[in-house]
Amino acid sequence: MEDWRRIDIDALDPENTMTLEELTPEVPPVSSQEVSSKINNIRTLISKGSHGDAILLAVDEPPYGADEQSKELYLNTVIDIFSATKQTDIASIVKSLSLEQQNALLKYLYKGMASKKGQQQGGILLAWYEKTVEVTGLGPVVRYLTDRRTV
Amino acid sequence: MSQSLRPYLSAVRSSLTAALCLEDFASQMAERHNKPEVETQKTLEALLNPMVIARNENEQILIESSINSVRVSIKIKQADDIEEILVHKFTRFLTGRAEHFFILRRAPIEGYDISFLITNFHAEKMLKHKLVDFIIEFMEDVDKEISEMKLFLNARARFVAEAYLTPFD
Amino acid sequence: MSKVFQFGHLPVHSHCFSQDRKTLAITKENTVEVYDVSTPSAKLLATLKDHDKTVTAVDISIHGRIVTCSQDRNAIVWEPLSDGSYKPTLVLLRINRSATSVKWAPNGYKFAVGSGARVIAVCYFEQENDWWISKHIKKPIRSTILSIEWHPNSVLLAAGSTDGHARVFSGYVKGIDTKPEPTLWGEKLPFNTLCGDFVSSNGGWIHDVAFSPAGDVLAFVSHDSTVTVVYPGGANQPPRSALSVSTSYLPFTSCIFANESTVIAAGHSCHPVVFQGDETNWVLSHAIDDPEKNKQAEDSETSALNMFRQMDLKGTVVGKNASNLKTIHQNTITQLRPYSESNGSLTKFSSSGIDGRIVIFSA
Repeated sequence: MEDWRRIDIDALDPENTMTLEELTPEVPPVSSQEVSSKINNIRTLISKGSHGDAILLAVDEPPYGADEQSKELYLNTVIDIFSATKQTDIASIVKSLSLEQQNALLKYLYKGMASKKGQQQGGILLAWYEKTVEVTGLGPVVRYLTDRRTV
Repeated sequence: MSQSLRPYLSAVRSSLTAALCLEDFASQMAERHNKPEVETQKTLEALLNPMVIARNENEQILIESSINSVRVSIKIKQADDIEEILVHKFTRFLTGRAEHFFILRRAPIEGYDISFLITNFHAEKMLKHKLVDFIIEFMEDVDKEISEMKLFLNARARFVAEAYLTPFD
Repeated sequence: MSKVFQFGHLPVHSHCFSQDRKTLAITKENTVEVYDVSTPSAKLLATLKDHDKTVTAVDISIHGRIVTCSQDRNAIVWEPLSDGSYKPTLVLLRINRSATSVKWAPNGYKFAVGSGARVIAVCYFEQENDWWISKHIKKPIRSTILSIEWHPNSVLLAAGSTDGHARVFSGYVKGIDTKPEPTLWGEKLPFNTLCGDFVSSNGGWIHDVAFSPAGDVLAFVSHDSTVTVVYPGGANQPPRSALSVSTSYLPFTSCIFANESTVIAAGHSCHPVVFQGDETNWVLSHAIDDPEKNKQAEDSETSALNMFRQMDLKGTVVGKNASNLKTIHQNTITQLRPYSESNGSLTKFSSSGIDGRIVIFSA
């Protein structure tokens, strides 16, 4: 304890700071089996060519409570739908989503752009982003910023 | 403008507009201080989710925002060694004069080439949409500038080589 | 039409009209300026300058007392004297971080100060010692209080904070208040009782809270661009309904009730927006000073001659006010206040902005 002058006393007071766990709202836990079965359902829809339904399924109640690894797999699946969908269909798909689903869609777009796989397909994600924001306005972007339930 | 530049810039524009909703917020940690929360990273509840907008692996922008400040970091396209050197020199030139640019940060965030720090005081003095315009314009211009410099450099190198290699008569 | 006052270009974080709407107090950096606005041009009456950091909020009681609070951790009550000057009295706030918001109780006998020290100080005048003292509401606040609002009964108060919670507390002070009638928020209300705790659907800081005129409905705006309206279900019961309206605007920083079924909110989008609804459903009704409409009006005015003149002068086609926003406020609106009402419904309200403007809008 030689360096006691440099101790950050504020950090030692639990009353003082809020931890990330306290700030994150409680979400029901999702097991990795549930996530993988949902991924399979989505993949079936992609192979059938019904991309609109695949997106709808993907952004409806996204697995907020899953562990990081399952979230990663899930994200890769969502990026696959993005790249499989024709650009001309994007606007109509986004319009068919509810407000909450649009918020989730934007979360996946941002997370996608932050991931390696998404960056390799930057053009596709950007096209999705542009068309989505054209339909929804800035609301979902702001809600992405504030929402601590991460995808 | 190339195919994917326009959606890239428009994505940056909407993300920045959403992030630049700042207000005056005195520090919760230090008495009578008012610091950019995004720099201190101490008050977690005052921070927002970071946003990454990527055109590809080499061209990205990171927007970290908080209740009273936003940090914007840009990764500039560097296709070869010459561009790497040019970008390094160019950003050094700018950051060395950071106080004249108000919102420029002296050191970039790790992994990025240049960073801006916009606080609520900047947003109060300057019009918000103009700040957004400035960042967008900067991103457009920096690419142009670098490729122009590269062309110029190559032309000069060719001239020098020619002059050097011309046999004496 | 809307009436606009321009007070320099420094940000106005808070403003307040006196009860008779003849004087106006605005914050300006470390000072508060008091203007006489009964004549067409505003006249500066007094500058209140005892704070040494940014003044964050100002409020005028029904008796004409001005209270200010600042990031220097202090609040000051300014008593108007007969010669037009003001006598300052420092309040014993006992907080060690910035004071962020202040509101007089509707009865004018006490006020509450929200702070970054994670407490709300409820302040009242102590006759024996001739000073303003405070009691602290501490639990369960864990973060900076951004806004405060009193219930019409002057006992309950609502507070919004950066941890994303809007809470309703009892600010009952023995000896100052008479025993309150039971309300939907609770029956027995000793000091510091938590009567309600609400969060927004997508998280985000609570920028402002408001009680409806009757006090049985609470509205709050949060940083996720939503307006949430809560109908309490009675003491210790879950709320009857809590409805969120998500918008595509930028976040709102202030909200007020126009009547029991109308809320007006404004913020980073620089113009007010009206919401309407009841216990079952709330919807966005319309925008006031809508930039879309203003744009159309302006576009039709620009003639071909103007276009060529611009091309000649600048080489590009730029409207004459291209750098201006198409709204009255040119920067974020910081606060809304009711201005006048008739038949229990708001007819006019005022707003202050970062651009140094005070605007009186018709609702």
